[in-house]
Amino acid sequence: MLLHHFFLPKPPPPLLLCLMRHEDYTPLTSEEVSRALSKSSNTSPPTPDHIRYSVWKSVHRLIPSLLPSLLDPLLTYGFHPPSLKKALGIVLDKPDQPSYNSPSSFMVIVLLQTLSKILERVVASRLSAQAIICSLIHTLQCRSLPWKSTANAALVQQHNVESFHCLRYKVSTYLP
Amino acid sequence: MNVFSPEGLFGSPHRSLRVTSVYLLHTNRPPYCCIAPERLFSSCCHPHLVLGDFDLHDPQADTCRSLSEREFMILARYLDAAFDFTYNLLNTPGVYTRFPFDTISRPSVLHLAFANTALCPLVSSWDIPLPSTSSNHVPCVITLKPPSIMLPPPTPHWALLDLHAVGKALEDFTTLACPARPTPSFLSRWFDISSTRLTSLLTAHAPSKVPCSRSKPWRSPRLSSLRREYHKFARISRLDPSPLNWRNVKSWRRTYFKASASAKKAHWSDFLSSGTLQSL
Repeated sequence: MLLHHFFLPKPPPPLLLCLMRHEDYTPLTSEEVSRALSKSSNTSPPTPDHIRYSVWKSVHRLIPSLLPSLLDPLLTYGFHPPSLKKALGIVLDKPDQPSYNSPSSFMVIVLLQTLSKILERVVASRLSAQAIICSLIHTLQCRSLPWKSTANAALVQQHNVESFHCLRYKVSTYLP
Repeated sequence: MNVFSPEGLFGSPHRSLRVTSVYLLHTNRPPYCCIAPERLFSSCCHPHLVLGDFDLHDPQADTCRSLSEREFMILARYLDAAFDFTYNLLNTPGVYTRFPFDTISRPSVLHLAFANTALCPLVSSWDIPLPSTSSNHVPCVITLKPPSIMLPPPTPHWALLDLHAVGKALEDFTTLACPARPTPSFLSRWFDISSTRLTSLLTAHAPSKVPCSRSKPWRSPRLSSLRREYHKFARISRLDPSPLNWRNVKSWRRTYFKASASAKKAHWSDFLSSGTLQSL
């Protein structure tokens, strides 16, 4: 009785539910993978799988259908496998700390699997495209969006200033 | 007891090891005198091992024992002093060192061993493998050995990946068909198997890169070939000690040493020029 009182029985394992295919899913194309790989650095430090982005770029150049065929089922069923969640943490000391006896004087750089990062970039680009289509982002929002870099933001600002000058307003701006 | 070794202990730069054996009696009644914690533990820079019968129950070593307030007060003085001077307890938690002969008392841990920061890397194990010595205390064995240098495992050398062979192998490579309506565990397993097959294929076509403990950043293939040539001529000269062979040896040795020195100098100047405050 005491055993049952202090050590509660384990909850039953969850039922093995089948994953459902998303109806409005667009298959992953090799162009999307190419775009995701083009943003990846060849000199990034090694990840838990020891495979660098340069290797995946070479593989994708040789067989463009290989990586989409591997990653497409994950997107089809909206599932992220646990093996892609493995990470390598590197502890670095923060510069100019008064004392290194506290854990807060250190920072951890987490290196995820390269395949996980490729998949993440594909999903991020799809999400940002959807957000623009659905007008979820303010029109003046710049940075981290396609065709809306800081250079574009500066051009828009300059255009606005010149437009007001044409209307004989006294306007100026300062870009640090 | 101070142990001196002129060539350094276990390959370490320390030349002396101090072992302090303790038998504590927590009384100051004559003729006995209790050793103060400050006399046992000190901030010495050389390896120091403090061990013996402390006549104290330590909750770290004997996790099942509850201490009285008096015991806790005495223990706290010794443990505070030990941890202030960065000594670490070597006892394995839960391993008893005293087995009383009567059936009333319980086994306990009264033998404690502390090692300071300089000694800790040299401690390999703490164990009680020996039989009883007809006393109710069992002998404890502390093994010291040189610190082993853990080399990182070999990694694939991707710069030398044979792309031609990989291309041929990838043409024959097919991912396993993913079944319709899989369970999460099945899909996870499918992905693991498919990705492992692919990564194994890639790794098999790349030579392994094993870092050597003696490898230096300034080492280059040219230096290796010069060293090889120098040793080849040195072997020839030993077999046939003619003046011509000796001249060859001297010439190759001069070339190799000069190239090595200039490589070291170039690496150091490069390090100084590219070093930042963060990297230093």
